[in-house]
Amino acid sequence: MRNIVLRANDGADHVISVAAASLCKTVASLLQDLEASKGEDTDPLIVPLPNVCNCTLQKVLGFCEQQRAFDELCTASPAAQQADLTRQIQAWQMEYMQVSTDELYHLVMAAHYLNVPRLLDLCTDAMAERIRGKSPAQVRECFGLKPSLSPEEEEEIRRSNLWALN
Amino acid sequence: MEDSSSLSINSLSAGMLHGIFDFLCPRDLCAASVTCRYWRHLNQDSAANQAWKAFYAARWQPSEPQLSSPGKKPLPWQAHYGRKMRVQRVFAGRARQDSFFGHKGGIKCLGLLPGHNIMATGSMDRTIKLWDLNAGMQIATSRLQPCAVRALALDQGMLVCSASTRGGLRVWRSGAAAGKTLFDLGASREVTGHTGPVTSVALNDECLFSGSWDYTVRIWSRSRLKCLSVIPCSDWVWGVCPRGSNLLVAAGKHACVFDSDTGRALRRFDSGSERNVLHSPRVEGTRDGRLLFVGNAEGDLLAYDLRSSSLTACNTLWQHGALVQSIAFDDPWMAAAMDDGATLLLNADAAMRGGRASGLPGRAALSAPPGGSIAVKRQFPGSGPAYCVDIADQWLACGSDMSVVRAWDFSGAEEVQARLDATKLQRAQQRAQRRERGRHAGRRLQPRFPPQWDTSGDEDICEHDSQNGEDLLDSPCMAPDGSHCAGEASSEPQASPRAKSQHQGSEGMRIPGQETQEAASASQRDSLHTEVDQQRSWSVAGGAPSEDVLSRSLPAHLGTPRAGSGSAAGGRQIRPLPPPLVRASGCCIEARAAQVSRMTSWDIQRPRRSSSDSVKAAG
Repeated sequence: MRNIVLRANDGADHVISVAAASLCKTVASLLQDLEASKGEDTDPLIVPLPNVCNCTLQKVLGFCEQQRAFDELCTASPAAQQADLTRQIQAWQMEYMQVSTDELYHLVMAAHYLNVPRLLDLCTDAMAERIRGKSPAQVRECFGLKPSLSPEEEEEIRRSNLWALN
Repeated sequence: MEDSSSLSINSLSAGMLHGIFDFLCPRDLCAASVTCRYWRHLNQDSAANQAWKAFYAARWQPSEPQLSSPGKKPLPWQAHYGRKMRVQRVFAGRARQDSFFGHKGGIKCLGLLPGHNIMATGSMDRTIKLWDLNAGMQIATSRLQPCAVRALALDQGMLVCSASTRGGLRVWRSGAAAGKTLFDLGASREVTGHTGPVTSVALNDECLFSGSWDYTVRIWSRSRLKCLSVIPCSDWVWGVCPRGSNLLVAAGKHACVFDSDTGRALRRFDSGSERNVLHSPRVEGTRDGRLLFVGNAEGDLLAYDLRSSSLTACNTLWQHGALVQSIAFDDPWMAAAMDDGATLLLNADAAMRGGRASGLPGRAALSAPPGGSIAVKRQFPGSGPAYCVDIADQWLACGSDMSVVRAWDFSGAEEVQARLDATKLQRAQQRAQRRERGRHAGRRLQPRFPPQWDTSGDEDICEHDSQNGEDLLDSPCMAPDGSHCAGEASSEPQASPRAKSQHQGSEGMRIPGQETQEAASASQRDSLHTEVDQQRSWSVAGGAPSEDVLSRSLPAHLGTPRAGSGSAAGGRQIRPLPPPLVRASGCCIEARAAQVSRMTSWDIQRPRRSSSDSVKAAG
């Protein structure tokens, strides 16, 4: 199993297997390009990621490794255990998403930049979860937004959507 | 990366925000659109509009004018959705009830097309009739069919019914495109294919579905009426219902779900009916195919979630006790016709949220409906087994064994409610004024008899009545059996004699009361007249408005049947009730007048009115 090194914007290096790293589409395409140009090489590749900070990268890589492990389990285990495994994955993802809102922003952006579709889905869902079932005022409070609508505009939207905003 | 203080959710790109919004349901999207200007802007672009259109189409059939945007800027789908949600609330309001007489046998099937002001009914008397909904008039009658018309479906392009014992279908095409009347019942086409009697037909945009006792469901193309596929079932087919990608089929004792493209069987639910072996469950579903509704022989209305993998994930919406003959669904309202003649109108949304959790399906939820203001269930009692029901676009119709179709028009409910609120407010103000004046005149210290019936007591009784009216809708205007099918052909002629009788009744009541209320103010009389007018235009099913007035002005035994229960609290003497007078003919009016003149306890029953009036006279 080959490893590569991902370097965050503050210079910290993270060693990760190629299989896990290829969950990040950005890294995967980079690797393809590099391999095509360099051919066989014993040195571990160093991929600089200038847009991702150290702790976020660590979190993302944690996700990649765990997903990789789950994928292998999924293909290995018989169909009968699939449901159990799915539940296990969901539990893990739930725990993984126990982060502050600020961390979540970083995570969404990193997932977007590194192009990890599954992580992006998970993050946007978690973000939506923070909106779900709340009143507009509560949403504003949650995300620290300032009410930029004038009262008249707000009243108008309320009037056309009375069923949801009574 | 940037320092976290400058990072907010709005520094994410629009695409990512859309990704987040994609996970939200309509209600939360509305909340998000009020949050800030940027989010509102995001919620109004074309991608969001498409999402709202999908939301709308998942619940309701988009109507023609919504789809073809004429000249001017089309309304965003979010607004359509909001409007539809508001429109659907009217089913909790008051309705105008109509009866359609004309068939000579039980009504086995009916279909509503309110957009074209049409209702089609099929009956045991082997005919199909078309009706003008608003006028309550019969438009056309078909020729005699070979046998009773058991199933019928229509939309703006096509009317289909089961036509023969041997499994034929009769199809009428709409003449609207050619500028003629919608359906000309003279020119029809027969389609054959089934080898057994057809029990159910259904239409969607592309296909025509028919289920038969020959153990099959056939799917036909709408344009050429060619059979596209045959889906074999394990038993007699009693109902078909295409919803989304699913085809819901009632076969024997089972409710089955097929994939309508491939014809593959996906699910099978046992209706679990022991009592009535021959009864097959009635099937309905939401337009997106997410939920399956089943009405079974035990009178249970069940909802199955077709997304979840377990076969037992079922939600009891309501338990009625009588066999369910037919169900229809217009999100979120479910209408059911019961074997005991009742027509049930159920807010499936509210029932699913509130019903199961409380353990008592519905009843507890009814007393405290989630969301506060929407009723969970309404019931319209009727006589004779009700066979079929349809609900569409502010109309509810139910056909019964008694060869009568009853229809309820909810389209004016909002307006009536507003008017009632205004009247109530006005009356409260008048009362407050009177009380104020009475206080100034020093009459407040005067002892009143009997003291316990002060203003609040009277109000209690009124509210009690109106509440009953709202709950069960058995106002005196909706007679139970017999008396109301006195033979009128349509509701138009009925309205005036009834209103007249009430008018006369209220005049009549004033006579014995005159010695006590000679000072009755003109304004009060006016309000009475407006109420009578309302009564005329709204021969009310949810009789609260009229009852409110009637219980005030009529002698108690002509008031609501419920006044009896009110009397227990008030300690009044009330004789057992005669059956409520409804379609009053001449003799009824006389009888009523005679009853009025026999009432001698009038002044005792209305102490408040006389005292307040004397106060007013003093002031």
